[in-house]
Amino acid sequence: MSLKTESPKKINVGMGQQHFARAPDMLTAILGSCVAVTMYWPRGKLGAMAHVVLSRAGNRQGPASNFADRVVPAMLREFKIRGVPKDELVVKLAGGASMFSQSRVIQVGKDNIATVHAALEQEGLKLAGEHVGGKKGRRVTLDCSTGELTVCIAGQEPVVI
Amino acid sequence: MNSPADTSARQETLERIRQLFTLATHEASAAMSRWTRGAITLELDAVEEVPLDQAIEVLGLGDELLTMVVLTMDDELGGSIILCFDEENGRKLASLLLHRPLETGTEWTELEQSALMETGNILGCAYMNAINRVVSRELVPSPPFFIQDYGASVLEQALMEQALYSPEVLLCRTRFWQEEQQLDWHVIFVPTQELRELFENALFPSQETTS
Repeated sequence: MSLKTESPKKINVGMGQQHFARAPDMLTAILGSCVAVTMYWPRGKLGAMAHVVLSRAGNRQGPASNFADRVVPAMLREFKIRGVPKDELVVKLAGGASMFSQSRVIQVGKDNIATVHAALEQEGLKLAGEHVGGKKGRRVTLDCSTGELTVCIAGQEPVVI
Repeated sequence: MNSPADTSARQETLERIRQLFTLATHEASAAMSRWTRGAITLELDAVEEVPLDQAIEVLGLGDELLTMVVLTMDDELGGSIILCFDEENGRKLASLLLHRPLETGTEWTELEQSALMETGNILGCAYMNAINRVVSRELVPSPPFFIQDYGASVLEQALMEQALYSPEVLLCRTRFWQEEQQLDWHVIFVPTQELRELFENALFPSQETTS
């Protein structure tokens, strides 16, 4: 009798969304000026990705994962509910490009990066890796089997952080 | 949850914007037809208000790399026009415009990029000329720029200014035709909140009372 093995699912994390997944599944997002905050618990092979759109919530409505100033505590709460200690999490960050530098379009990428940095510092968390800024979009994939975050930029070799 | 009155008002607003874009697309189509010697025309595909987290999916922009020409409104109101193709279709347009055989090299030549940017310029100006007449304002598109990147990344940046104001975003999408065949090209118009309000407040001739 052969055992049926499940093939890994690739879960797309859309703008403002946050998803959790366990090994062997993967979490993926396409980023421009948005940033992806990923947290990974190696012992349980549990990963989370938030696709953050704006730096500050202010009076705006929407899920915490939409806003850089709310996303970190919200993700930590979710891990706590799942019994995961904060100090066992591996945190990574990617995105925050400024793609329309020739235009007047607002440059939120830098603000998103700075706000996530500040939120992580406030929680006493250190980044294990980041791939941020620039002028190109990114496709990021968190492999929940390994915790590796693969960053693909058009015309360049993928980078694993 | 929205009341029936709110829903009805939103539908009416969308219908107004649809009328405006039907007019603008008609003008852009005429310009495109002249530019391509009658080969290519376009028509309005959809004017939709969608939740931010669904916008990329609604437009069918996966993780495909696209060739795009982007214009932004060179005005305090902001807004973006994105002309996008997959690699093959972008090359086909360049070949058509330059009267040259289809290029298959990996790098786009300056001439090919220029041909696509000029197409974006012609379409952007035609759109804005039509819109300017209705909104009584001189909106001018920026010089076009050429990008090869993930379509979703570029759209994400274009949506930012609407995302600041609303969890739902307005998208206007156009499709292209070559004779009877629909082409896999799109123009996506992404207004800012301010530009959207300008559209909404615009007076349409059909709503003027006549006596």
